[in-house]
Amino acid sequence: MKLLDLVESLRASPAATDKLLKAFVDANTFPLVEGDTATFFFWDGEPTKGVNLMHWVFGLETRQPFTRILGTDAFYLSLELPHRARVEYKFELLRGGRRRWIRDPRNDLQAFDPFGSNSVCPMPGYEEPNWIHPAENCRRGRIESFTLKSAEWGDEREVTMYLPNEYKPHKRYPLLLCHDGRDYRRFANMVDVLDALIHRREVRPLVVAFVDGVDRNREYGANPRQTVFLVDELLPAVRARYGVTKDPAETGVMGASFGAVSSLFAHWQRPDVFGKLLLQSGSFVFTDVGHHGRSELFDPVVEFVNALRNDTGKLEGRTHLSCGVFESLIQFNRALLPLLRERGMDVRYSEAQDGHNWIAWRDRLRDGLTWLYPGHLWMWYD
Amino acid sequence: MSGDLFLLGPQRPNPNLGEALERIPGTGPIVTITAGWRLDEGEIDALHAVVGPDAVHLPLYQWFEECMETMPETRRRYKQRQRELRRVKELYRIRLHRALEAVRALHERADQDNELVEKQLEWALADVRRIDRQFVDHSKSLFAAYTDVSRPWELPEVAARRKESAEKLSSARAILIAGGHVAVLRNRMLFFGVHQQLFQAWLQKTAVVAWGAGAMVLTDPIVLFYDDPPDGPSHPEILDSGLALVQDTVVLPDAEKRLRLRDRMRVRLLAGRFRPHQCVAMENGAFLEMKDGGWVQRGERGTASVLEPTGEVVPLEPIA
Repeated sequence: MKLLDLVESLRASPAATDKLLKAFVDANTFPLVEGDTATFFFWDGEPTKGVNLMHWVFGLETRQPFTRILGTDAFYLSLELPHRARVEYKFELLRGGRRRWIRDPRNDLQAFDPFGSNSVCPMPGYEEPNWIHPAENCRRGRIESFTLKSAEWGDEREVTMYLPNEYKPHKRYPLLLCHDGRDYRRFANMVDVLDALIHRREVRPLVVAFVDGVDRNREYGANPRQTVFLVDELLPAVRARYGVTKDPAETGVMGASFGAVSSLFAHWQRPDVFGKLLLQSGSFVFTDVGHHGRSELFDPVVEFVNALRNDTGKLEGRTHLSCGVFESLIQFNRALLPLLRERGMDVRYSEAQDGHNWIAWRDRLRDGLTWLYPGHLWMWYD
Repeated sequence: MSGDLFLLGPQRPNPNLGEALERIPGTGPIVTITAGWRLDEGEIDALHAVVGPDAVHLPLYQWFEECMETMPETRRRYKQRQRELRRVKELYRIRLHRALEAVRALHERADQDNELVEKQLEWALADVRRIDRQFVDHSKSLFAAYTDVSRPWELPEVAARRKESAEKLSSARAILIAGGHVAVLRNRMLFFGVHQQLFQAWLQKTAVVAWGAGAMVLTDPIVLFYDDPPDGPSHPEILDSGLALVQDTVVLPDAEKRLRLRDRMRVRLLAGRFRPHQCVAMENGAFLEMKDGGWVQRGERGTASVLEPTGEVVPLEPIA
């Protein structure tokens, strides 16, 4: 039964409201997606004052009110969305004078992040990549870790290493340092992705050092101390323990959001260290005039990006820059692209019809890693 | 009269090299060439365990690295030539992609004015073939133009290795060429003149067994293929001329994974483009033997297939 038919039936048979609603929810999967329209629906049989859709699609109102089906506690909201869009969302319930956020109780599709999980609405054109899970015969890499005593931060940091299946200590592998390493592993499947792409020979076997911040936003927000940590502490420690390259051209750094800021900032400060940057949804906020209008955490970031924009110095290296079109950061990333190219960087850029989330970053990993560390896909025949 | 010639499918996950070896009579050394494995060239334990005590390794990749270290001028000239060859490849791609785009556009109109389009399609495909041919010719002439490195095996510093490979190959009962990086494998064999020695040995009844990139280097030209690279759909292209021990065949290892075999238009284009060569898809388990100028399938049905210019993929029936 379609939503319009339901509304008609409810109007015709108000006495059968609960029965009709139950039949409707049992017969459908939610959200209802038809063409490029997604219809969100809520009804749990309890008295409800209102429902809002909470989402993170920049350009749409963050809080979108549902329409009540007259005479019921059922609500719906139809949104036209781009064909390949993937939208994470929650419902805000207004009950008993309180507002409460919940996942869509009738949608099993969820995406996880450090703050919990959201419901997911994939539009018909969105396809989950086929390379996020390694093939059955994939030769898996291994994970190990060591503790790094950091003089710069005055504490100890856990460094988790990804070593490709073929890893041999006497060889020198390309190296990639990864900000927010735990979240990249947990929420963006990065270890599986590395295994799969290396197995498919789309990406060269490489070593990845995953690290995490403690006071993450302050450490990653264009903080010179993080550059010192990355370049003078982490890099030598990894090179001393593992078979990795000392060639800057084969040494990379990556991150998402503030992690991307930290990566670019480190390269800007120490341009002779990293030859590859993977920058996902970087918080590259800048101002032409006035205040940036965001939290004070952005102060050093804006100062850095403004300085970068005024700097005419050359920047070298290969970069993959990406951002979701549903992010408020999209315009800043688009603005950064010509800037980096003008400075001499070899940049590939991609956009997704997605937001500021870990699945979006997972889905762009193939673009980034194959650009930065291309494998012998065309040349290799077992 | 020449030796046996066996082409195998990829050796993962289930190797069938042992079956091929069982068909090679007599005793004597079996030479293994694994230069396509690049830095892992020396990791031959598993391979030699299958071959047995007669296994003798020919470490061409290692030899090449040693030569490059001790022959700076040769290295400089060699790299210079490789750079030029890469440039030629880039230019070839520009023409090739445009020509293939025309073929694709005509294919899309094939239902409308069939007869008219077919004629144009034939010419468009001829354009693609001409571009392929010109690329190979251009590469060959460039290769030859670097006279000082076009026959490196004649250089005194290379002579000792050349002699060693000649001794090993001329006394071999069989020569095995493993897969891996097809360009590296081809170039290392050419550097030491192993292609000539291989041909001589084969003419004197030494068996040749090759798989993956090893099978590809025996053909001419060598065709690279992968329909769905990360950058989006692509088309096969020619790497360069091959050793031409195998005539009239384009070998396509792992074609199920690498090609859209269910896309009739792409299959038709690939098969038609390289005609009169026969495009042979080889999966794990494929076991082809050259007999009277044609292929006999000794593996299971479905492991080797021929791509037909009609767009069909026809399995090679196993020999009874």
